[in-house]
Amino acid sequence: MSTKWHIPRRTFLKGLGTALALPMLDAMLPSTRVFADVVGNTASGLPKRMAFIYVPQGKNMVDWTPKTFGADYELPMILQPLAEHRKDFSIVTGMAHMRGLSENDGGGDHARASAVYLTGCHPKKTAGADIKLGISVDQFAAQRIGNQTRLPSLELSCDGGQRAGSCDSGYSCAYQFNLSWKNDTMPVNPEVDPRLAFERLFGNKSSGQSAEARAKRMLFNKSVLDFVLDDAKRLQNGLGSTDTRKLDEYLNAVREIEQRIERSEKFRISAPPGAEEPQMFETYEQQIKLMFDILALSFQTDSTRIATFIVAHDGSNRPYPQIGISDGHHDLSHHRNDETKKAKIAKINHFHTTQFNYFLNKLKSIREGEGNLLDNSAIVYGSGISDGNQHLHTNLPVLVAGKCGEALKTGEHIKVDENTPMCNMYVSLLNIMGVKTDRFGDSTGRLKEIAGVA
Amino acid sequence: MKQAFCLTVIVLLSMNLPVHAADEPPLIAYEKTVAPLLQKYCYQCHSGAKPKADLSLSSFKTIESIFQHREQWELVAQNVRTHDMPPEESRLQPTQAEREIIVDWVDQQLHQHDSKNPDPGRVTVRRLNRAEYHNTIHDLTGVDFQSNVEFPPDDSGYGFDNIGDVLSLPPVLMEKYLSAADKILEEAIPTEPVSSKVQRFPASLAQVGFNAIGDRGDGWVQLISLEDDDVAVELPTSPGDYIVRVLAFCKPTGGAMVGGGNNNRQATTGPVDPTRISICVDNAFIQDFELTAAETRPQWYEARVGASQGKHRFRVVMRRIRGGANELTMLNGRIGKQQSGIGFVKYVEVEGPLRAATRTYPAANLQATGEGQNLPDGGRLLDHEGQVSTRINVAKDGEVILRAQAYADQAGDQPARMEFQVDGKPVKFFDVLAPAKMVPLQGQRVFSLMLLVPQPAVYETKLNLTAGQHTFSAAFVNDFVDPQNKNPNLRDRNLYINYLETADLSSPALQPEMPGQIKQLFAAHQQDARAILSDFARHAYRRPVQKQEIDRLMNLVDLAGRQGEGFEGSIKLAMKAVLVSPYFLFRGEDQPNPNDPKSIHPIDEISLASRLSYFLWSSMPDDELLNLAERGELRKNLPAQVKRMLESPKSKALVDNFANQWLQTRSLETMQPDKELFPDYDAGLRAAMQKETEMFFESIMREDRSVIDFLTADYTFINERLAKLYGIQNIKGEEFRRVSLSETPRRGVITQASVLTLTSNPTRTSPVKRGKFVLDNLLGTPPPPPPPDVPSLDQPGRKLIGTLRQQMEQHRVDPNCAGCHARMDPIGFGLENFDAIGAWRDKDGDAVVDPAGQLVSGESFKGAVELSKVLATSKRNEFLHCMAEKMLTFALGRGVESYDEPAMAEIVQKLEKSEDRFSVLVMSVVDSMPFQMRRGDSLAAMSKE
Repeated sequence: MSTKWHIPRRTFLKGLGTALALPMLDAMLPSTRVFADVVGNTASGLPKRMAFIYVPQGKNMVDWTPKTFGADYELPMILQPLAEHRKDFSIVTGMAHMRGLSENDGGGDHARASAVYLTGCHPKKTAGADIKLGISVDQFAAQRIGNQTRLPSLELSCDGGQRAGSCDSGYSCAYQFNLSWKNDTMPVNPEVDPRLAFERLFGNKSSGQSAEARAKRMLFNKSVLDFVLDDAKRLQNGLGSTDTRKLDEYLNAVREIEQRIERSEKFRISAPPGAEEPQMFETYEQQIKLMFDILALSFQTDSTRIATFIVAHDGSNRPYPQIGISDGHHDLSHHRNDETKKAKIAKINHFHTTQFNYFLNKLKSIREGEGNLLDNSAIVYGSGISDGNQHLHTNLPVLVAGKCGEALKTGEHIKVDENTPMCNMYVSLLNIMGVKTDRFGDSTGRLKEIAGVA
Repeated sequence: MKQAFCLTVIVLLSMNLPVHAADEPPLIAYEKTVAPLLQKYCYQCHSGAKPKADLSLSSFKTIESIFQHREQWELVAQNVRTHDMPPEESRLQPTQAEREIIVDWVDQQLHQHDSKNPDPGRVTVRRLNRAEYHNTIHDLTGVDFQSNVEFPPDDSGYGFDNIGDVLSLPPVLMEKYLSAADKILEEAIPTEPVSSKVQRFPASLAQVGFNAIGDRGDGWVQLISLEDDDVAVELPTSPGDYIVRVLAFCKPTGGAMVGGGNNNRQATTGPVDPTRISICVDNAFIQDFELTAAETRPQWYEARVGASQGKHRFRVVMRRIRGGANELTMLNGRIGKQQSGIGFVKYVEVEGPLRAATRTYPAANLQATGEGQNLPDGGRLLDHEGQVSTRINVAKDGEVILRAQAYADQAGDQPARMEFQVDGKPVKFFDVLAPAKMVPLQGQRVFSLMLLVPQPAVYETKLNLTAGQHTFSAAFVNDFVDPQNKNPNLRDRNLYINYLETADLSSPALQPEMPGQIKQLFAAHQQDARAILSDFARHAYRRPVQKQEIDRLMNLVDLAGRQGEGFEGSIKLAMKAVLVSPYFLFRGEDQPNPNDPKSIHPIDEISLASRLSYFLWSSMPDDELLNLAERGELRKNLPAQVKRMLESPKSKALVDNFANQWLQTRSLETMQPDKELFPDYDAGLRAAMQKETEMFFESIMREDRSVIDFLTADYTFINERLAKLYGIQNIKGEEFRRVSLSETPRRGVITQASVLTLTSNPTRTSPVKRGKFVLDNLLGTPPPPPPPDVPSLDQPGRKLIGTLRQQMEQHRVDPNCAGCHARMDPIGFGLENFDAIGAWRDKDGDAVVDPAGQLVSGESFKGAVELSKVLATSKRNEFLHCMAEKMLTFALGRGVESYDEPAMAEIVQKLEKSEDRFSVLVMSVVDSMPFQMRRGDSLAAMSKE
């Protein structure tokens, strides 16, 4: 019986699990480490953080975009929940995601909106076999500076993948339910359960073991991983090219876990006192708040510095009965200029910024150095569509909160040239985070307009 | 091998394809006959700089360019064949003969080309998805691992979540596989007692009883006693004691109902009984509390319960008034009076296992004296005085709880009495009022299922015992008969004991037992680690294993041993490696030439066994399949094996995974119809909708009916909730039963509430979505996606007025929209008599619903019954083809391609020859070339992107 599916032939993967990334920092340091000379830290030596918060199908733009530019603008209705923080964020008007346009692919703007959002790439139109997009800005950063923390990045969402059926107009659901992409074919599935997200950060409760037990556990895990790597290598030799790529995913995953195990020993982080494993949530509002709590906690404990959070996926047809809206959000977004519908959309947008305000409050309440956690962060809040009715990918609603040290300008409504690629801002943010690059996605330069004093 | 291959070609050629004279070079034929027709009928829209649907037919100048756009041309042929194109508004319509010229030429070019090189396609190695992981782990270890909760959702493609190309394996998931393996093995091979924990469940998310109205908006669930409403959580337990807590308050009046409905509250007059709430485990009553807490001050109430290993339902129940004579009084077909109060519950908490060695002894296994008989459920009937006894070992001096779960038949003026004895001395007696199965009095209707099953209770006492061995007995001490009593429930006093239980409070909790599969594995191979692991790995990898593989596993056993792990702990480490190995997590198939697309070959029998078991069971092959495959006898026995597999209860997986995705009922839980417009819609109704469709599908599968029944069946399965929604009389209770629909306007799946809800918006129906659902999932002719710049409905000077239907018809005047909407909307109009949750309606708002419609191909109908008939007759072929396509997609775990067309045509042919029977659909999918064979991958295909 010839079974190449399980007979080893030759080995071509070398040195797996040995050439681990070298963490920059020593294991003995406290959870918040102060190093001014480290690239990616603020002038006062605190780590910088970057997060992308996604809300779906654009905004009712007249209630989002302030009428005037500069610092003295009047807060439009959707932004009013953020009034107390207006000095801590900027609104940037004029950016676009041109790769989100149809490019002769027909419908599917919701899939494209979320696909293009952090990647600046045009998704390949396919319902399955061959999804193809591009690396997302958070993963680009995570792969370059993520080794400074226990988790290179954290991905959260309030929407799990679709249960059945197909997604937007012939696009794979992967485009709509994932914001982060590790490379052009592999989305990073976000965590949708706050409890499991908490476990990822701090392990489950049984991890309070003795040093000896931990060492044994680690040894066992490593031997298991060595064993399965060996299996995967044997297996891969009898496979066709597509199968080999699938097994590569497996190999990458195992390799990454080996690194994580190393890192979790190097950066042993436990939940700060008072932070409890989240209980089950009962409402959408609670779920969002729990997720924001976890995001704040992950930054506070320096478990990661890079995060994405999908508050709701693009195309979401969720109703918002808690604010008296029983129509589905997506249905409403095709408002056909019906004022009642537009008012309802604005109300949903307002609901989302109200939740976002909770996050800003939380970040500001956490002291760090001379300031607070928000001061050391860049939080990008926005959508991949501006007007949901016409599915526009221009003039995107973008808000950037936090100064990220002194790197970002806050407190203004900033105008940039029309159709400036979003990716220009990503290049700037990447540089601020300490990632050296001149290009990302479809960037054509940097976004000087958002630069702060430093 | 080569011969077999040639044979297949011949078979395919002879079976599927009309033989056309292909002497003429194809391009000349095209230019001479096809292009002029296209020019006459199609170029008007499909040519030029901005052709409709981005399809410019005039731009194809070579045969190669046509092959390169194979999908577009298939669509052309399909639309011309179905009369969907040219659109009906078009003045110029081709004759039937002209249509056939176009269709035949395209078919011939695209498919005859294929038939010369039949292509079975290839399947990418495929990771187990959540459902498959769950089932495989269950069959392998007996552990019921909640993969749906613990793993992220699987991405789906082509409508299913088992598509190898789409299933990815990000590091997060790999991490979860590692921790899942730990959790599974902890349960499969317990090496230490389970640590105690507190689990809290919001009542609004728990399983809620039949009449319970659900969360009133702030998490408080209201319970009334009409049908013994409860809030329940089902948990796996290890043997031990648990504390069940409930946060509750009561409103002393307003709970009693008159009539049957929830809305007929009885005004309470006279004295009000105290409101009581009970804690039960499974069917057994444990303890009740007088609910004194008012709404302003809810209180926690708690009870201690014992549990054996397994799964138990911890329930908080508003029971009808029990105790004393109430237990024997039947009122309106139910036991006891209704309570006048309403209980409100917000949380249920379960804490445990507590530090106590809890042991459960089923009475049928115990030493017994006196006459009686052992019952099939593990209990014992004592119909004369007598007792059951067990030896117990007390570890050290201290407190022990003694318990018995019991119920009784009554007679005479004393309740049945049960006496606990320790070492032969009485220590406590109980009046056992918990009723056995009761017989309704003459003339009384039986409403409640409660009468049909015994309602046991747990009786317990706590006492001090000295260390050492003791005997614990429960005795029936007052036998009595009164055969002449008019009430059949009061003629013979008997005691039934289900089990005895002891909880030794001074000993630590017990280690749980191994589940059956693992216990057998260890028992079969004694202390031979090598044999245990070989057996385990063979099942886990679904193939024979090599010696070197076991050697490597044994290395892990040795390593664990050196680190101080015992025998079981060491095996666990090796098993963990098996459970995260790619051989377990992925399904792959041996190929002689993996990168040669011309290497076409039948898959080996080992691979075939897995293809079958994951298709029909979503799980690993069982011993019978694996043994046959290893002996090379599976192909020979294929029909018998497929029959056996379909008959097995495991084929329920086809309902869970195929039906629920094909009909999209899995998405039902994300639907949120407007609460104000549809107050009846809640979790209970939603679950009933899903269950209806599942049972309906299962009936077609189990009874091997015609698949056309999916469209036209005049029967379904409903319970009281659905009966109310459907306006069907005289269906009471939670239980589902088969009902005839012949007198109703409903037929097949398109009129089931699940599908109707799935295809609606939260506030209204959507004829477009309904039409699209039918085109996508029943006819397999999906409309193209909408154009990117949907023009506004309200153009200046034109205001849409009238019913939804009228508005849509005005919308369809726009030629940009007309083409596709003319295909979707009429189907949806035919279903307009069903509102957004599937209830019948004559009017939409004030306007009378007009359920008439006409398909673009000409057939007209009025209402759902006629629509279903039209679909089943003039669209019959499309439907059968669609079934073939959907099932083949699911069976293969890949999207079907144009080269699968002959296989699907063959499946349709076979169906037609055998009254469209479900089993023939399954069998012909199994027999099809893409299922039986495969080819190598093409390196070129990768760069085609």
